[in-house]
Amino acid sequence: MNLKKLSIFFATSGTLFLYFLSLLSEPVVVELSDLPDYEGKKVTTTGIVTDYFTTKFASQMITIKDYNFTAVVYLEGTCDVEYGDKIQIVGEVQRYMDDWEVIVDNKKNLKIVEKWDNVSFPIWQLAQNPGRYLGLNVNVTGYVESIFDSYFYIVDIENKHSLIVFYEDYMGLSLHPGKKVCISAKFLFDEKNLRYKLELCDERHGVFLETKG
Amino acid sequence: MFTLFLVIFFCLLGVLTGIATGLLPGLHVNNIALILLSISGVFVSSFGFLIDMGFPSDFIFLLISVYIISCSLAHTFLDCIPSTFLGAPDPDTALSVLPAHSLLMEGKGFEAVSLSALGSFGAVLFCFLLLVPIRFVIGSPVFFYETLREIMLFVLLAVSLLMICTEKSKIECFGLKKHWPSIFGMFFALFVFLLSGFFGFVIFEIVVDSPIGLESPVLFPALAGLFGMPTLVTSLMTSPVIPEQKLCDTVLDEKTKKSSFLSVVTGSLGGILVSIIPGITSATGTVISMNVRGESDKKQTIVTLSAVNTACAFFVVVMMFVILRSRSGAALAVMEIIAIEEWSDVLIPQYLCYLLIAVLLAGTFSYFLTLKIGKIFAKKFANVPYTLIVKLTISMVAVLVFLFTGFMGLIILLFATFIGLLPVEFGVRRSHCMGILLIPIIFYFI
Repeated sequence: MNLKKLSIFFATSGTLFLYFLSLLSEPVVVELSDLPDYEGKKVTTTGIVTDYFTTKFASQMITIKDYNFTAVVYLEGTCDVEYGDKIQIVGEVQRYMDDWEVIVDNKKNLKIVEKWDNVSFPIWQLAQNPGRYLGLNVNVTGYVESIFDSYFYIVDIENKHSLIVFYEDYMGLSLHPGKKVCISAKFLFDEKNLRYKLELCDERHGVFLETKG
Repeated sequence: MFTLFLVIFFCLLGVLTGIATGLLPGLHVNNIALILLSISGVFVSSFGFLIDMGFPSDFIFLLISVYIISCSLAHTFLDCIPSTFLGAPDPDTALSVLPAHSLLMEGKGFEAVSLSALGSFGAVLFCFLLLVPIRFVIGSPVFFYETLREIMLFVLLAVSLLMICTEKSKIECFGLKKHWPSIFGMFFALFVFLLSGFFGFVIFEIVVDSPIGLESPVLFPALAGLFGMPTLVTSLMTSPVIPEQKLCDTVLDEKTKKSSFLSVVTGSLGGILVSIIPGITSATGTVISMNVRGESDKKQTIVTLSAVNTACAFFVVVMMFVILRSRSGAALAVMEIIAIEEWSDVLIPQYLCYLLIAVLLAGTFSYFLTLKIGKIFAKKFANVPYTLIVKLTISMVAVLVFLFTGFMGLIILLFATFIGLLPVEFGVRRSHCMGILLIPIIFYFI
């Protein structure tokens, strides 16, 4: 067999062999905190969206967080993520200045695994680890305690934790003390009064009465 | 003043490294940049004393960028030497002979190197003249890049079609004559293009891992296999009798001067295009330039190819600041090291100024060094153990591939080499192998 025939045979069969190999080859799944160990490598990781914006070149920069570790996702293209969404990405880890970035070259490699408004949790869960949810959209359940003009308080069933919720007048909420509610809002820190707060500041935010309560 | 001295010093270091890497056959300049990036930490720690002297850490990162850019530019000058003197096929059996190899066989290897250096240096000067006009065309107020982005899919399809339809090689099979060999040539070019594209899709899904913890660019084994290894492998299988080389300086007559000027201009414009459009390389830029130019003289092909190469290396630096995109390994490395400030006004950003100083100096040094080293190479070439060098080079590429991408990288290198051998064996253009990048990028834009 001469080199011509050999090259055709090995070029095609080799490519097919690599194709089947690629089906078995999956990027390693890592925590965000382990990204520095995988610089230059392709990984799969998950995190909660804390910030995002679209660049003028129609790419998207998404900041994700997992406990105390933050990374930036550079997505070639855009997708409909929101604050608080849990996303899974597959991309190459790179260091840019002091930040860790995951370069996602295809929209298909970014999956929203949990929309923020599909998951609700009780107020004590926020109290246990407030830093994890800071700046995110959350769905929190609790009982209305006291109501004021532009804010009200919610507490948990054992009255151990209480949280202030701010809303705009135009929302015209109809609340009654003791009612169980589910609040979709942004969890923020009120620096002036040194306390955490929930703020209804988006059209998707709201207060929903729980029927069992 | 000391700042400028440091910039010049790092530029010289880059040129010296570029000479070394350029003289090693089979190593692509992008791979060199990625290798440099992975060892940039060593540079930072080595020059940490500059921080004690009061220089900000950002400035040290800038110096490393100067080093990388100078190295990549010098590499584009020097790599013509091994590609001229090494890997020449047996002219009796080879279907396609590169223009530089053709001159080598006529005893004009040094002339090929001189023409290449001329094309590269001419491109540096021409690109510098075009710097500001191109900035206004690509960025505001013309925003050519934005327009191009909107039609990028069609641009890439047009480039691919141009490459395949301008394939001139003839492949005889099934005993068919007349125009059939030309048609088979085009079909074979299409086959190589599509196979490389599929290969590209496949390798981007494969995870490669460095056994010593280095960055693992999967394109390194793929590009080394497609473009570097085939020439080396075929040259091992052939034993060309290379005539004694003429060492006289190249004197250009008026007609050749005009022709070379035109080659530099079209080559530089082709290089600028390569630095803007993703997925196309200097080889594709040369095809476009030669088609625009309408001349296929082998000497002018060398000038044009070198002009495209160097203009591309020049303008990827500028494009980093205008469109904020990296279009080469060197630019990618620099963008990871320094914060790029967009060039949106008339005034050139400070970091770009330093990088341009480096490009101009590196271009000038490299021009004279290429001529000097080219002459030495031509003189001593007959005494060089040619086969041994080729074997050592193949081993070195394999070792580097293993160190950067592990065992899986070696498998990719092997099969990429077989794909890269197809154009060499059947005599079609090697640039069709750029389907490895072009086809995945075309699918990205669909």
